[in-house]
Amino acid sequence: MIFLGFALVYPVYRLGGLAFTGGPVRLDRVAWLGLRNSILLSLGVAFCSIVICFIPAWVLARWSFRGKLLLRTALTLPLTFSGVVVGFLAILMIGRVGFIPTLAETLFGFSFLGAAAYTPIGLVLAYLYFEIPRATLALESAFAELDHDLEAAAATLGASAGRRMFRLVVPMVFPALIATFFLTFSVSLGSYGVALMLSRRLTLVPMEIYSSFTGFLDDQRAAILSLTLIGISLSASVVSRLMRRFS
Amino acid sequence: MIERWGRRRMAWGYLTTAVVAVISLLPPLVAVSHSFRAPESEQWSGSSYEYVMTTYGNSLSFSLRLALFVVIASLVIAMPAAIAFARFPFRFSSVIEELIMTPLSLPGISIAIAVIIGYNSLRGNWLLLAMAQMLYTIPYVVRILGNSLRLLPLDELEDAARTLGAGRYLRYRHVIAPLIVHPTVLASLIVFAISWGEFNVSFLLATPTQLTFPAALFATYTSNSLSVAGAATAIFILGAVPFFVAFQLLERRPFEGGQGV
Repeated sequence: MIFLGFALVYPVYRLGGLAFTGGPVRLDRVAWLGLRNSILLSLGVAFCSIVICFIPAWVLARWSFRGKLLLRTALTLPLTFSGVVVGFLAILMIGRVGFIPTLAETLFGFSFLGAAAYTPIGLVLAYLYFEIPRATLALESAFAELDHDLEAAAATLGASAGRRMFRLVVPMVFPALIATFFLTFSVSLGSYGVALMLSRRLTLVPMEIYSSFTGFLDDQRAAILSLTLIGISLSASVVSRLMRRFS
Repeated sequence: MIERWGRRRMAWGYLTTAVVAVISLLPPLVAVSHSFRAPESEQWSGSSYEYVMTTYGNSLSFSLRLALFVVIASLVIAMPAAIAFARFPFRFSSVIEELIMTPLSLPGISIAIAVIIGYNSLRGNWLLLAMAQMLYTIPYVVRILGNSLRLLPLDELEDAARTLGAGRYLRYRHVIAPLIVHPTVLASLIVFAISWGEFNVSFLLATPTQLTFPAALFATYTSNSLSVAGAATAIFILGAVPFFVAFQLLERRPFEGGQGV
């Protein structure tokens, strides 16, 4: 607790002090643009990762089979990579002479996803790479807590698998879906290493913080943006935790 | 499996999961394959590794020492807290526990700037770096230890030991301590992996003399050949993945968490 006070509360308090002194608190156009881009990107990535991770999370949570532990370990490996590593891997895979474009070239004779790494699409794919394991694990633990008996009851009453899924399972795990959505949203929002490697044209908040702190030595702007980011992430995580408790 | 899922659905389920797993595994393998290609000759060689070791060896050993320090310091600070929360809950203790978890949902770059502004005079000191990293490691120690302590019937075991005449020290030494070895090992593994790979907070706090290895990685990405960058990435993966895999195999349950990105 004392550690938390020293290491977190005091610095954030000083950050607040810096943000509100030395000129009016206002954000320039580029900062607003970055904020909008960051939020849109994070929302999109959060939505996609839930859609992609639904089935793997279900398989890992509900089916028992050999090699499940290995499969989960493989799937969650990107959790150990910090953002810059993910950014570098994205350049290797979908950069100008990346693995996937080259492979597509040799297999089908045309380039696929060539030089996509530096475009917004590349950014989305790189973000998905590190969000998929997070979303899968969050959904898996939610699915694991579901009551088997209800589904068994529905099955004996003649409900088909699809009907059970959409009338029973999805409503029951809905809070968990929302919780996972906001969890991945807040992780993407603060993500910084990937943007550092890949973001060329797209303005994102973490990059703006970095450049105004190190490049322009505009500490106040960096402080305001940092506080904004902390505020949004914190609210997202509160929503996520409340929803988690509901489910 | 009580549900009747049908063969085709099962196949699709396994296929999707396997595809996602392959997508996760493929990029690091490609990076490793790049690392063995010499920059000029396109032949297989280990020269890039030698280059990384001579140029960035210092930051490699700095990161290793830092990670060891963070493991020990996090355990020292967080273990008493976790035991207190799990065994002797008091009013508001669950609120405090939630508060300890909050750094995990805060963006690393914001925290880095807050820490720099808050302790400007200490900038460049490795202890500040360790402190900032511990904001992100202590929550894991508290959570892992807390969860497993709550699952164990410690009170009953202690009572049993007491009726058998064990004193306070003996009870701790032979009942409690052996039971928390497993979660402590788990926590140490994940803390090491996190400290080793931490970039967001460490990048702004690191200095040229105290460059963490992930910060050195970034340097290779921006200024070295693909082969050298690949070799540095391979070394980075070698430092993080074994700990993570060991953690996963020992934990067995889905565990939410990991590196800040």
